[in-house]
Amino acid sequence: MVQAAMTRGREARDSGGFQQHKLAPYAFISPFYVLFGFFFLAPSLIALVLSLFRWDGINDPRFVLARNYGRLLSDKVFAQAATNTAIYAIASLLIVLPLALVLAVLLNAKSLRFSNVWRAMYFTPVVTSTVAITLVFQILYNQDTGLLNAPLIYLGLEPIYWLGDRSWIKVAIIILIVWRSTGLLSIYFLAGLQSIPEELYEAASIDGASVLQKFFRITIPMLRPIILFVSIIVLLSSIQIFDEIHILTHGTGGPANASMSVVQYLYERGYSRLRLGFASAVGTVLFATVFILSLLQLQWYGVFRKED
Amino acid sequence: MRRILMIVTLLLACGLLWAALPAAAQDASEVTLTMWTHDGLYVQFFSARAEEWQERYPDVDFTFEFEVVPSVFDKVLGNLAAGEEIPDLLGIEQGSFPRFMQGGIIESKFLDLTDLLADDYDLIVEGRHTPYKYQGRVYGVDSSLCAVVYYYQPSIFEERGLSVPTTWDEYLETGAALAEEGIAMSYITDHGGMFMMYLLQRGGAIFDDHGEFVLPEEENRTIAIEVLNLLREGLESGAIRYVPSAEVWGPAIINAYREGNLVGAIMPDWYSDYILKPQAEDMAEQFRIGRMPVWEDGDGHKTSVWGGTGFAVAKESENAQYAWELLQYTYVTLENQIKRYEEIAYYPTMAAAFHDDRIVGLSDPFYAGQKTGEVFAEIVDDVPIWYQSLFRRTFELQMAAELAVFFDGSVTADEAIDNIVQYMEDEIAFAE
Repeated sequence: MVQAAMTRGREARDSGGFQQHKLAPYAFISPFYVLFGFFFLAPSLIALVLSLFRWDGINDPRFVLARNYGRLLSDKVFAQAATNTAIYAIASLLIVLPLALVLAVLLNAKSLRFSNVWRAMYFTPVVTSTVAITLVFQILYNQDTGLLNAPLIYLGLEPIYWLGDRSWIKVAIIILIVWRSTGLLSIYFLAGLQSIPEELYEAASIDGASVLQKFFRITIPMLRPIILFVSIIVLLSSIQIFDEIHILTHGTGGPANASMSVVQYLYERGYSRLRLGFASAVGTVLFATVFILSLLQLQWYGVFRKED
Repeated sequence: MRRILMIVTLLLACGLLWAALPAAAQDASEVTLTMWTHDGLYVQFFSARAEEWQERYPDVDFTFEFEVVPSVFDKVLGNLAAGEEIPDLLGIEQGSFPRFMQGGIIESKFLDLTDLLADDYDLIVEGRHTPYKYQGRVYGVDSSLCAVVYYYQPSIFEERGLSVPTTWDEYLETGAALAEEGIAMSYITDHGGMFMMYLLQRGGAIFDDHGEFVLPEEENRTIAIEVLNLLREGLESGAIRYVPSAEVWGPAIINAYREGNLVGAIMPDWYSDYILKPQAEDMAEQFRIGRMPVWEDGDGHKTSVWGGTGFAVAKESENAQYAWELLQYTYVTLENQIKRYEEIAYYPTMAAAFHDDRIVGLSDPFYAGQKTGEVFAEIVDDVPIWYQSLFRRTFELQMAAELAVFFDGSVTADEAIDNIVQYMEDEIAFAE
């Protein structure tokens, strides 16, 4: 009888222990999910609900169903902001990504002297305040006194209206994005490059592979996960671009909104005009776009493909 | 034991009462007045006046917390949304006033000053009340006349035997002559407020006193097209230079003055001490102030207006009465309007101040001793009246976009106005 009671007690204890054992990992990872729930999930859901209302943030909200979405899709300024943002995203993917990779390969070269100094230099834009960088670029882009126009003026050519011309302002912003992002992304690539086993290159060299062959047959395939990560980062950051453009154009969105990004559009509608419901609709559309594009990117890189 | 407990309780109660009494007395005599603004000159002027004003209340110990707050309107609206306190006095820049009109925020959170101004209302020019009116009631007292004049370098005209133009026709003619040497008379940018400045001078209106969009009305539409065509003519001849809005307040303009390829600017009174003097200190004595050119046919006004900051009083503040009295003392007395000009160079909004020798007789060394107040005295009676609207910012931003495509020749004046009217009508319909 005593033996039976002891057995039951052990079973109960074991079963409780098993429960504890099962819950422990969740308890350890819970801080992230709690914070995620409070600061991302809940606000996102609230924004989704809010997008169906008209609300100035102070008075009572008024239910308007899908009117915010209707206006958003018919607003030519939103269409322009979306086009501008797409241009920034495509330019970033096509320019920043390859440039960062090339830079990382160069920084990884064994023959490179003072490599740490170069790496620190390319990383500097990341640790410098966006405001400071943008103000410096504002001076560089100045039509009459800017450094970029100085050679043109010296040669007697027409200076470029970097910030005043509807086409050039996009170029000006892409240059700023390239300068600011390339360094950080090259550090990611550098980390990836340093994890590629040296033996692979040695074996390829013995087989007579050229530098380009090694790059395309070893480096690129081995960096695939990093390229995926970096391309998602580039896409997300370029779609969410705001502060650089906002400061560079004094919050105006450039001539004829030529440089306005979707987030700048959201900010202007939400905070300047106090249309928080409408801004929530913009945010929801932006979230859906980013989510779908990220899924497409993952699909393209074969993340969802089942391994044989 | 019970007796001891009773004694302790009584002692505690007496102690609390003793502690509370002096605190209550102290609270009654200690008042902290807060003020937020975007401009340090207002802090300077209000601080000086507050020191004088507090002498009216010898029994009250005032503390003045006046400060420049970055993104002040975002912060105040954020505080209101969160149910937090807002300052007793708030300087609302007129461009941001429509944000406070949204959902009647201005009416529910700020003091209606109309009756408080009482007889003083008529002392201030009407055009300086309307930017702070909501449903016919006044919620702010303006800081400056904001009348528009022509800042110019006389030497550029004198060297060529040209005279300072007084009409737009003369302006374009003189400008065309100077343009042959690569010199522009003034500049324009794709800013909705700047367009409004030229439109108001011609007698046009964008919104009426009920905040209704009246630009599509025939008279206003005609005026808007005339104004755009005037600007187009100036741009094409080189008399007027286009400057990107991102560069309009920066060093590019000042360098152009220095190099002698830009004569000056058509700008409001605040341009002098807020922009020109601080950035072009080395150009002292090279500038003068003249009247804005007028339209040849005599229609319209002698001047225009752009800008302004109206001070409002928080309705729910327990110090609202003190805040209003300080505002009244600082901005609604003739003496202090004159002091404001003397100390921070913002022109009085009271027409009577322009009869005072301290305004019209004051020589400004930056303008080579010119009595600049005389120029403003000639135009103070003709400051255009304009009205706010919930859709003002929408208009200004979209007009800026239309101006950019108009200035580069992509659309005609008629098309630019049609486009803005269409956009505004869509926005207004959406908001209904």
